[in-house]
Amino acid sequence: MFDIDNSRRFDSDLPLIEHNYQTLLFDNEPILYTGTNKHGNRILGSSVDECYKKKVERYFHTIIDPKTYNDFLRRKITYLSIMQKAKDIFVIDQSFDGDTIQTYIINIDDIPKDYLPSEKSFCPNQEIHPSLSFALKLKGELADLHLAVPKQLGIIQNSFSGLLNSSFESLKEFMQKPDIRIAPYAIGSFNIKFDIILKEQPFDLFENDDMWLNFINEYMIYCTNYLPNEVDAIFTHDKETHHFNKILESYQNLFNRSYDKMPDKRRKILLNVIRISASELGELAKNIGTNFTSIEVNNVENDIETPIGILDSSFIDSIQNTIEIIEDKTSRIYTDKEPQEYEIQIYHINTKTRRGNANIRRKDIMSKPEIKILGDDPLEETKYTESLHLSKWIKVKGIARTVDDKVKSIDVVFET
Amino acid sequence: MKFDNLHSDIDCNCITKEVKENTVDIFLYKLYKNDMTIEEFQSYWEKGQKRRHNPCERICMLKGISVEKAINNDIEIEILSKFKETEEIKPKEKEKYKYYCSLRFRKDAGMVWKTGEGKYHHTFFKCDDFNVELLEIIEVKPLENNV
Repeated sequence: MFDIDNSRRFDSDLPLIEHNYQTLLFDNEPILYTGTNKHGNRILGSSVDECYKKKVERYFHTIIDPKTYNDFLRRKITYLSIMQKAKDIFVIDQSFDGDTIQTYIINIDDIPKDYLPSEKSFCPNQEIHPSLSFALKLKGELADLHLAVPKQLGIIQNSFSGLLNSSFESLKEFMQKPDIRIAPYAIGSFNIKFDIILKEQPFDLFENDDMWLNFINEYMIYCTNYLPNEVDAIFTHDKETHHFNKILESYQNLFNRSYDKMPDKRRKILLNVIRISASELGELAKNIGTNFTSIEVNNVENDIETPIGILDSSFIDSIQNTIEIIEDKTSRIYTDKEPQEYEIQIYHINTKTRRGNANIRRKDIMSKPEIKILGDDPLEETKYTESLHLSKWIKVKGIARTVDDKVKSIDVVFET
Repeated sequence: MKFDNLHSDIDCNCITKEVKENTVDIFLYKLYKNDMTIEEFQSYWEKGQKRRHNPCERICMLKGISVEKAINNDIEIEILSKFKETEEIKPKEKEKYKYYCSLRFRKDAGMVWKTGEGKYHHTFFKCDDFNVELLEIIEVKPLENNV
């Protein structure tokens, strides 16, 4: 066991796991594990070495943010890279009885190389046992004060219910669509819990096997983590991609298990379900940046939260791009070649991101397009905020994108 | 089979209905030396790591011995890569374990419990009358060439 200078002693329970302990790799003892400290921060820990003479076991603990943990679980980053980026690494020395003897705070340069995890230290694949409960955690700004704006909360609740419903759309041949209920949940920043209530099925095709539930969980992980990077390949070029193939294989396995004859169009069905889910995700993400900065999507089993995905400001553009690619492929699309005049009434605008929504009527068809006001000029006290506050119809110039006769988006040219 | 020794210093019942005798399947087990002895086949609890401030499930996992169920050669390769994953996270493991063996449990050796996060990990509980003769060692191989 390597020596640590006494000046690095750190007498605090900040790096100690108090709740949500979960083993990620067990081999005679917990090798890699996670949990949260008393403040609710995520801790990633590992066994380092043991001294049988002194009867001491040593562990590394690192405090990480939810996105880093999600990326680690998805095997996008290694344990070594997490430790390299961490400003502080905590060393916990425990007696063989499990009592904490001493805690130190060090940085990666203090650790001898033969104690460091390797460059291939990815999180082992986890055998998932998802539940029928999902939780959304709003983080940042108002959410950190345990507050939310009712209108935004309504959009979030409806769009996440819509996302869950769309994922069950793929299973409509197996089971009746479940009911989705919002349940009370403990205060975090601002947490919302969704319980899926299954209806009584005429017959149980899966003989109590939860493979369909694993599929729903994997599908949700796919949509929130991998779809934006793979959408072009799978929708535009009909190509197969690594993560889509995995989800398609899981989907096919459900059919293999349940039917003698496999349906021919399951890829098409899955793509259609993804189209609906992407649209719900777009709604879910659109208020990120106003009153809260991110949404954590978790599956919850026995009060232990397992991340599905993290939606932050970077997700807004990637999911909008995803929706546009899907619409290009699946709908009749028309985009103005140059700015045209439109009459709109803005009912939501984020003055920071300059994105929002408006009502528009064209050819007797009402639409509620996404709008983006171009330029850098402040939006306060302009005709755009006037339209919002006074519900006033205003004339704007912009490039509209029309999908199946409905205006889906307008890039509005800023005018004073 | 009796498990009084297993339960002697804890207030948990580790032999639940999920714990069963298995004399059919092959399991892989890591070794310090290329020979199975009673010292090799000890749980971390028996070696002194008695972490009692834990829920019963975790205490029972520490009381037992980690073995990996290998149904065929393909799975053996997957299990070896799991051994490798352990070394990637905790490099000191490489200095400890140099070999692994494939084995079957003979009748009345003990009982097996499916545990852990992976598909193959199981925990083996030795019964009071356990001795290494109750392990059918099929093959001992070096880890270095395989992991």
